Amino acid sequence: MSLASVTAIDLHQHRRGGKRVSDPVVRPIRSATSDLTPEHTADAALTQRFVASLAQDQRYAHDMFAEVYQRWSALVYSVARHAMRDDHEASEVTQRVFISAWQSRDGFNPAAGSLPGWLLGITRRRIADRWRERSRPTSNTTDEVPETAEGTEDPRVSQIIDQVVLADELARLGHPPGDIMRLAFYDDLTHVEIAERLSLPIGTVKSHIRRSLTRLRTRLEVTHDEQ
Amino acid sequence: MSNNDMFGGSGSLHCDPTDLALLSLGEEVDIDTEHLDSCADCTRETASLRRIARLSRQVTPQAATSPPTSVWTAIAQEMTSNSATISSATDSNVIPMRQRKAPWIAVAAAVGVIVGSLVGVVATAENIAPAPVVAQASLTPFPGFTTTGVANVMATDNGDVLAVDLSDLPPANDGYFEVWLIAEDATSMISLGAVNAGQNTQLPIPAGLALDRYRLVDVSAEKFDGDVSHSAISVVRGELSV
Repeated sequence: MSLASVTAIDLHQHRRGGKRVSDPVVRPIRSATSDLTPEHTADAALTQRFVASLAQDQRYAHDMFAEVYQRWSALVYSVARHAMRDDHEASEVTQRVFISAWQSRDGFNPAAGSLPGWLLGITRRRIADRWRERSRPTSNTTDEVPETAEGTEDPRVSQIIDQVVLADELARLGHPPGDIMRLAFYDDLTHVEIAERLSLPIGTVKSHIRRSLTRLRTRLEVTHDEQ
Repeated sequence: MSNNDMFGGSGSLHCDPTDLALLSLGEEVDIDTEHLDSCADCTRETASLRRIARLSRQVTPQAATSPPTSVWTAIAQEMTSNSATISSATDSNVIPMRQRKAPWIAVAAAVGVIVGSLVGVVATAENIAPAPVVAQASLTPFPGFTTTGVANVMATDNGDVLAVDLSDLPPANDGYFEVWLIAEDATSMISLGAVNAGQNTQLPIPAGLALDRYRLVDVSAEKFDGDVSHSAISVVRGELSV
């Protein structure tokens, strides 16, 4: 199958079917489609168009890359901000990530991982680069960040990615799922108490809790789906 | 779909996934603990959701922040200027944003200043009959901008002009907007002059310019800083087609 003919459905099946030895997230058995939101579908479609654009005219690929940037740059930038604790450095990291992605775009394989997973994989490496540059002996600044070997992935970045992704997804849950999960997570209310507080049927609250938890899990899985 | 279909269908009845979700949040749930303890699927599902709950409790809901517009501008410029050598390019090609201006841009823009001084000649010429459009570009915005527009190359008695119509423009902020023609391979660019929103701005195209090569019409946001080179902040761009 040529890359250009990969459909959104194919991408989904590839991702589900792919065997990944170092998968950091346990994947339990569950129904195949219930966790997919319209956003996931839109993301799959964007991935499909991006892959298709690689085989086409350069300017078309250029435009598609701008769309990819619009969809995922906030995530990359937010991760970089947390990692660098400096907006200007975060901007530079974001710039480097997307330039690297553009330069190595032919290496993106949708069957091997997701588009955000690929971008965040590059983000890990560019952040590790910046941390290394900071901690070089020539630098006068004392930095608590220890040096890591080139090419290694830092578990601290994985933690930051998880936190940024979850914070973002929690903010996007909307009403009432977002309200329900806030009360469950941060106010430690039971589903019965939440139902009373929000005047919602208990069954509705229960199903929102399950759906939101699996949605958060799916989002984490997708962003870990590197290649 | 029943629970058993979902979990493979064999063995004793699986726990209700919703109960497992509540359990993972720390609620007390009336659940078949005997099954839960002996079933790998249900145990794994609970552990997985528990991890999500634990991680979620460590964060504050907050939508991801978009980077400043200047980040895309720098990326787009790098993409265009490196287009000939992309496959062999490495990270070492990445240049810090503030050093972005390539010398050739300054040279090309200096040519543009000379050309730009001719603008008045054409613009004030009287009774220019409607000239035939020989090429057209629809101008689409860069990320962070909403401006759109059309650029037409028109063959007039005084030579080719580029007529630019823009829907609207962002606040100029102590600056102005400049029209460029960029070579397809991005090895050079020429400034045609300044443009304002809305009006049909006609800018002369230097005679002898290979329009089939300079096919990209670009409008940039510039400062009144005396720097004649492209600011690297493009607002819209489009490709001329005959």
